[in-house]
Amino acid sequence: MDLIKAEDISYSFKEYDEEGNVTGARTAVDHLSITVPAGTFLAVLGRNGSGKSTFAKHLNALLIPQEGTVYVDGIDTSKAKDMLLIRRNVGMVFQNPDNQIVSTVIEEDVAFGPENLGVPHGELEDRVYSSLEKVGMSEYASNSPTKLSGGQKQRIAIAGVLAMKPKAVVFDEATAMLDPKGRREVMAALKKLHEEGITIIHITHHMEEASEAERVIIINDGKVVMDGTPQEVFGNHAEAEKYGLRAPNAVLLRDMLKDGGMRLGEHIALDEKELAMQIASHLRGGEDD
Amino acid sequence: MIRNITLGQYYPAKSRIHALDPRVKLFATFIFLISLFVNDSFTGYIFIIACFGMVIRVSRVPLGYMIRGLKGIIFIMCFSVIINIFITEGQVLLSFWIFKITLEGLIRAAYFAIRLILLILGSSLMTYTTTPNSLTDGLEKSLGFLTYLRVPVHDFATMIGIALRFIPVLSEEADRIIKAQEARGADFTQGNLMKRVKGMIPLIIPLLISAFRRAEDLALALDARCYNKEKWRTKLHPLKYSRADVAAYILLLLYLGTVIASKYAFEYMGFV
Repeated sequence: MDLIKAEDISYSFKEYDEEGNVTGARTAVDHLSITVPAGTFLAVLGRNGSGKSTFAKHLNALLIPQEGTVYVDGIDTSKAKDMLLIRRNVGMVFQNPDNQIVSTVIEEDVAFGPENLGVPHGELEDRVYSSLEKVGMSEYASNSPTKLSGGQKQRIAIAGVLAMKPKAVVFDEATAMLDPKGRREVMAALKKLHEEGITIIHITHHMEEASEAERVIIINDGKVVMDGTPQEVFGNHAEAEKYGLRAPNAVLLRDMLKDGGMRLGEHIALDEKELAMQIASHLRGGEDD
Repeated sequence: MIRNITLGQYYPAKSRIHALDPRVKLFATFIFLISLFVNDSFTGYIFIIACFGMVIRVSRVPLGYMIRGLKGIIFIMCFSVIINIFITEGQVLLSFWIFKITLEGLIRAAYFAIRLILLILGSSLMTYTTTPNSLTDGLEKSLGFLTYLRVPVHDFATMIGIALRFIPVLSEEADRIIKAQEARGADFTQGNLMKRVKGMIPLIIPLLISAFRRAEDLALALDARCYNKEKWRTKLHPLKYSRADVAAYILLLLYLGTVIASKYAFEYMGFV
């Protein structure tokens, strides 16, 4: 079943001059259509200003499309009365770790979503502590979020979303402000959610992260310009480069090796480890992986 | 720079006062303030100070720590004490040029000082023994009846909570901006008052801009996490009265009763 379905949606921002008069409009999302089946791990790529974040905000009714319709679990997001249902089903983790934590105590921050939904007390506690457990932050439950690292804060944000029991979680460049360690922590949590059957939509410009997805789409000027498995999209990285994106290092190295005359199999290695195995097997005399 | 103010901060300790329900502590502060303004005799103040002293003992907040919190109000206190001494009419003790010091003025100034000190100490004892979060919860619950008058009590409570959450974030940011501006030659420490105030501009403008940006992000995050106006909201740690809380309420009423009764008793016996 399609959990999320966007039909021909468009959204543009008005541009203002210094006196506040409208001087024009900048189209952020331009007649975009996409369906995301339940349980998918989808990566959305695009350069700065490509409209990927604007698109993401349509997925839980933070923005309502000016043209077209978004359906979440069959519900039209422009129907205001179902807003809470939509936002409970599609949680969102934002880019800045500090700006999405609302409480001075971690467990109370995680409880914020379900409290707003009126989850009864006993179940509320279960949800809070099991969500913290899932992201590995149980020991910090009664601490203040101030002293945590970026990665830890993002995991708290993830726990806060999980406590609402969502069907999908949108990561809106949630790894962009983190150091490599924090990024790994968040990616590990993200994959864990996916294994539990939650639909993941990961907005990013890190190719290495996208290569772990099941499906990759590239958005440019508000349109979907490439759509496929990481294999398909990165296999055609000459085209991806036109949209300001650079394929993972392993893919680029593989191409150079091939150009240099090394015969590697058709399968495109997406990370260093996989590529190393291919090279090793090539050196051992076999041609395929 | 904001960090060494003790007034209004939480002092972590395990005491019976800390364990009380925040609503009791809010009520206690209110009762204490009333008692300060009802009472107008020295004997009464001795009683009030004795009771307050006992509460401080039980709270385990060191007296020195509390008194340090008074530093911020020394100026206002001296100012009002001096005004009180000079403007009160009565039996003249000393006079020079256009100033007269009267007996009534001295007594009034002393009362005023005691009242002000107790007022500050009393309300700060509440913040020393109550975490900001439970204070907000307590306020929200105690003022809940205002919802019927269409006052958005929960929104205010959320605002206070968020403000408290962002104090360390913004003060960290301010430090960062100060360092960045100093690296580019800004000077926040020298010159006269006027110069220093002007010197703050390169700190305040970026801080404000970033605060607005954060507010925008936060608004989205609140929406994404289903913040709403419905009444079905639940709490992770709902406030519940214990037996100690009931006992505290009774003691507080007895205390207020004693202060009021003694005032009229003294008046009747012709003291004051």
